[in-house]
Amino acid sequence: MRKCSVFFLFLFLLFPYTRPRYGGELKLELPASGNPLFWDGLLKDSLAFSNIFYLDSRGKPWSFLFSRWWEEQGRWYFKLKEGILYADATPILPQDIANSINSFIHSNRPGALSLRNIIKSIGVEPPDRVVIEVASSANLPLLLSTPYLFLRREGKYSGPFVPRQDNSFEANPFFPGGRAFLDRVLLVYPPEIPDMSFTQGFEARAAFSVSYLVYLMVSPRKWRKLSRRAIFSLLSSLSWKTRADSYLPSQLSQFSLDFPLIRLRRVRGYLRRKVILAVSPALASMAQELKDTASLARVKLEANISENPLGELLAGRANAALFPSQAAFVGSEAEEVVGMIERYGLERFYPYLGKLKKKILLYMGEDEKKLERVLSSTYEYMASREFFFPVAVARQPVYLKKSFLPGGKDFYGRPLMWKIRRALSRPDEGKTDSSPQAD
Amino acid sequence: MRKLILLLVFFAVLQAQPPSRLVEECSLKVESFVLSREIFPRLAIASIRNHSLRSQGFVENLYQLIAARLSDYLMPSEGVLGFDSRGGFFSPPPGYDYLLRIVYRELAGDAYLFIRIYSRDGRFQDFLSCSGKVEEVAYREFELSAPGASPLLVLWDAQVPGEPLAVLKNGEDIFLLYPDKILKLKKVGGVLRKVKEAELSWPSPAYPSQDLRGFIGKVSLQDGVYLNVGISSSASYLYLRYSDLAPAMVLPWLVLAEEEGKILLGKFAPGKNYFAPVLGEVSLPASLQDLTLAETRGFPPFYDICVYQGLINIVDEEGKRRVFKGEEEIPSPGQSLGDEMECWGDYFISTGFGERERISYQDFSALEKRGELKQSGKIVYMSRTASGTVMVLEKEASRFWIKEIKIE
Repeated sequence: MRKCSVFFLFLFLLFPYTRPRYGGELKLELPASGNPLFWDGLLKDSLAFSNIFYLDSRGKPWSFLFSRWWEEQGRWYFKLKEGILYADATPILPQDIANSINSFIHSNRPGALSLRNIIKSIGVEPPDRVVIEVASSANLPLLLSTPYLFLRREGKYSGPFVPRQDNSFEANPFFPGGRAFLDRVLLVYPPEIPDMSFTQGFEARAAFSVSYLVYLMVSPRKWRKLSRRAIFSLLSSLSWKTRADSYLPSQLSQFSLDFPLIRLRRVRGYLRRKVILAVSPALASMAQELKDTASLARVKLEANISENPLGELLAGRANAALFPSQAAFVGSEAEEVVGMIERYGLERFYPYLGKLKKKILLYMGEDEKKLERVLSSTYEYMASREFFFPVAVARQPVYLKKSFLPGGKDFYGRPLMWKIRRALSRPDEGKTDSSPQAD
Repeated sequence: MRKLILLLVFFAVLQAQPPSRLVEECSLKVESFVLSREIFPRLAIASIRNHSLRSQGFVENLYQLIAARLSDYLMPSEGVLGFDSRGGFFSPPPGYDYLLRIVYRELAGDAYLFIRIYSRDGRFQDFLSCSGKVEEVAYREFELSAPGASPLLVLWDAQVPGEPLAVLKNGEDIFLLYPDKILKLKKVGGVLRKVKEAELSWPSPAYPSQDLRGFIGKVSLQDGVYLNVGISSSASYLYLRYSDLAPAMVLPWLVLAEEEGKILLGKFAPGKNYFAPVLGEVSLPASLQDLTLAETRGFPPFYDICVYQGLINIVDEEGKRRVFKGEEEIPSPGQSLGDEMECWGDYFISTGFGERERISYQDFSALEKRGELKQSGKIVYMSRTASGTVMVLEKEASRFWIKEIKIE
């Protein structure tokens, strides 16, 4: 009986509120220098503008703007929802959507070339239809679901949030997908994590958001035992929740820090400074080591924010923007993964990764299907061990069910980042595939 | 004898008008099955099962209708093996070619008739299904003095079509609010019969909502009796004449409660699932036009409100109870209640603390919980009836139920 009541008490604590709650502010911290694909503002755009299509959690294209869409003899018809508005309460017109798609396909953004090859014409059928004539039997909504394609009209905002001053975004009450549960999103640009200094302590607070769970991944080979002990004692002394199982003196490859707001408030100011400085005389050298070795990290939103579907999307995009990897754009995905395994000496701690690396090398350039399978099992293995490569982090949450095949260059000669999985397309689509490789 | 049977069938047709369309549709499919065979086959019915809340009489009528419609192809059964509210089983006569197994089902306001056809050697041959709208909803009555029952009792319940947002009962009239329409049902002989349906056109602009909430209330004013309905995606609310549900006025206020000769008015925070932090007041007696002249004041945002002995009780944004006398807040224990609450005699009842799965009632003064009723679904809406009971709209899996409950 007691067990039962404890269980129910736990349930009550877990679900103290009976409806989804509105309110709250999400603080997203971005690095001063960013990922060139995000740097010109994909994150900001996805807050301020509505994607014309997006992929739902099952990988199916879906739209907040259209009530239905269908294909008839090489023409796709998109029927606009009734009464949808921009943030300033002016109506969204089919012509705006046609213009947005038209300007996108003539841009150099990812996915634009594929669409340009397929779309023959874009028109509007009054009062509420957009008609797109296509050259092949491609699944047009799937291609339109690139995260770079937004509904744009000058001076109008169609996204879940409306930009205000000081990099803050207020919820848009007219967002066609329903008003966001969050009231506000705040973007801040603190110093990047490798620049933090544990000796000062304050920078650590600035770099780590109070609402994030931060994973730091370090190369333990470069760490002295003393440093490992010192950092562990530092974290313990600050009363940050340290995962007990993540600290293994001989295998410190990852640990996670949870920064509850209340805890940080308690150690604010002089007391906190005192605590940090008193931890260990080896702090200075340890901080330098951390600066040198901490190069990978993952940000995950806390539970109450990730309950919001938008929160998850933001988390995915924040991850991608926070921890860019230039390596993601210079080689194939497989080369990148092998490079990461080698660079961080992961085989030493995870022998299974060594086996996967051998398989990747075996199939690279030989068998794309098998290679894809090995890569996905590598990601699964990493996810099960709770560590992430920046590439995996950047790609998986945002693109969901799309696969990222290695190889290929786009119209401008840059490495191809993403291509839609052939299996998702119709069988006869392969002949008229829109990928740059087919040109 | 034959005339008597025909008369019975005639009355059956009269009584069960909506299923007759289903029967006709399915019979046409059975006919096309029969005509597609090379040899003119003989059919027999093995069973008719009732997967709905309908009574035994309804299923018997349904069987009679099907038998009468397919009499040209059907061999009469040798006997009834059993017939109750779950359906009937028959002993098929020797010499049939195909056996029919029939299932009647009601789901979210739609009625379905499924017919499976088997050959004499037991092989499955065909599956026919037809569907139609249910114009009336069957309800189940419950024993009041069930042994070991909780102090909160369910008097009756019924599965209702679609996804209603709110429910109101006044006498035998039951109103169901949907995002785009309102239904008026009446309790007649074991079924809720649809009496009236009115389309609702909400004034623009619309605030799309991820958690749509509805409100429906009855208000008696000098110039008549009105229903006021609102949804959280609209900033304006509709006042309909109670008698014929004709639109009377559009106002930016909902009548939430009455307090010592005053009407308390509120409005949804547009697009959100709680009421905006403002309260309007109009002194009685008042006409509908007077509601436009409401005096407003600041008030905490709240999920639900009710008035007991001149005290305004609310469940605030945090799901906690707060008490106000006029504009002044009175210190209260601040129980965690949930998001739906009704004042009921000397008690207030609420959705309870948790996942909207229990209804609990507590004294206004005491802290302790007096009784609670565990529900199988999640409570969407609660409203007090004129007779002192409470109507509960509940979602169980993807189906919606209304229940009338009272304290024993």
